[in-house]
Amino acid sequence: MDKIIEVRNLRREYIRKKGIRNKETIVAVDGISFEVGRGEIFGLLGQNGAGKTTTIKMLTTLLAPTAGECKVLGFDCFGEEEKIRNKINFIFGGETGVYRRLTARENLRYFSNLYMLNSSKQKERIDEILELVDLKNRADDLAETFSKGMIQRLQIARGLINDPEIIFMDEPTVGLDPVGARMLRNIIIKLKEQGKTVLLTTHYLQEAEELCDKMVIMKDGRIVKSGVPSEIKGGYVTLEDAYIDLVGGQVS
Amino acid sequence: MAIRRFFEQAYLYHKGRQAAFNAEEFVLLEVGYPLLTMIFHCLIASYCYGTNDLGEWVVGNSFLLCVNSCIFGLGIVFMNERYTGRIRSIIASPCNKIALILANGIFPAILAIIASFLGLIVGVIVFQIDYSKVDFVYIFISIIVAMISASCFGLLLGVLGLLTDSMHMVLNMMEGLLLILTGAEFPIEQLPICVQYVSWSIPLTKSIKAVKGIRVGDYKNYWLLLLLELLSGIVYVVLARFLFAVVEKETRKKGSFDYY
Repeated sequence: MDKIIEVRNLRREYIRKKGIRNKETIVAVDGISFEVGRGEIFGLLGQNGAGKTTTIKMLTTLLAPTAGECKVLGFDCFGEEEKIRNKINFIFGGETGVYRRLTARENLRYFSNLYMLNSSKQKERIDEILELVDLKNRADDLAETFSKGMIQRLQIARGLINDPEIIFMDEPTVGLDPVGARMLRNIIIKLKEQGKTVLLTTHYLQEAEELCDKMVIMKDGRIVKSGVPSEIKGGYVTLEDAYIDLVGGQVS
Repeated sequence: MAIRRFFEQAYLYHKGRQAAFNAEEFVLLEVGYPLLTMIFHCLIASYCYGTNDLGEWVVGNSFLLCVNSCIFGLGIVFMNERYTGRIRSIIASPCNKIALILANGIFPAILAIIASFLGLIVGVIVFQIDYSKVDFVYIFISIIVAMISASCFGLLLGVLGLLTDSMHMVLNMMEGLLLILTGAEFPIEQLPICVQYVSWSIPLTKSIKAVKGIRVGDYKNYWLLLLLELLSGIVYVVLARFLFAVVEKETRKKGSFDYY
């Protein structure tokens, strides 16, 4: 299978100031390696602070690696980012990232302009995506009148606006109600059917098991296990039990 | 196509970030507050210099009305984007960053032109200034050039918002510097020589001098001063683009795009 994400010995450190003179180095990602094939749904799992978001930020060209290799579509994420940006997009969980004083449609027009979509394609794409995330009836309402779940759906629409080849999703179901979460899972499956690649982080292990072709479990910036869900589960009945064991929790 | 996209982006930027919700809010924020500030400064000048001919101060202070939208409005643009988590989408997009920076400045510049022109008219009426010998077309051209330059300067300051979270301090300091150094409140010839160089390098100084000149019938250096003002604006935008590229790289290394 064509490898479109390649991560080798990737490391990311942050320097944190402690007082006036002292500095502390924090290792967020500590020499991880993995590959993602075209058309795969790949899961990055781990506790808060495991390094998942930092990894996604490096892959989406927002953060420079301290060491190691980080390639998307064969291009370096730091140095060759211009060749990548048109073909990827990302969805971060939470309520930030959209303009609350714009309508849903205006938000999507704004973000599609960032990807330089021409006007006929833009209109068509916006209508299509609004339908996909079930916001067509509220398309001309201001985002500030939306519920948390609706804003998250608008975020999803924003992430799909440029019809990306690879979509990075960082806890995309945060804030979604069960119907919204199911809708997102269906969108992810649909994207896979279209040949898109999805890299996903989530705390919902059932969701990860249902969606992911392959996954890695991260702990303290390192990968503690990788493979297909059945390999990760090993002898445990559920992925949750295996996960808790791997991250050092107590399985009851 | 690119032009349509540019202006649409300018409109959406403005509406999404700064547009007032209702007419009252808009009038108070963009017109009421700046006009009162201008009247206040002119009254201080009247008291300090013991004169009733406030023509010079009305010109200078009406130009300074742009501070509200061009300096404070634009100066916090990128800082706001960081606070709201939208900067990620902007940075990681393939769009032309110089067009993106310029599109930010369109509406604040238009608002600043309106505010300055209104300020001048209100100042002329309130302080009974005699402008009967001055061609208002020249003044209007000066205002347009000055506001373009001020907007470009605001954009340059705004890029610093990618680096620091102390933009309010930077912008307040900048407002003070503009008050002192542009010649709006007193002639820049009264400043030390080295500070005069700073005066000439900041926006508004040249256009204020041009308008003060035509007020007393001196049209000799008018076009030269406006050309210099316009060139300053171009230099600010080029610097903003350059700074944006440097800062983008630096913040990607430091990991300081997001506030949270």
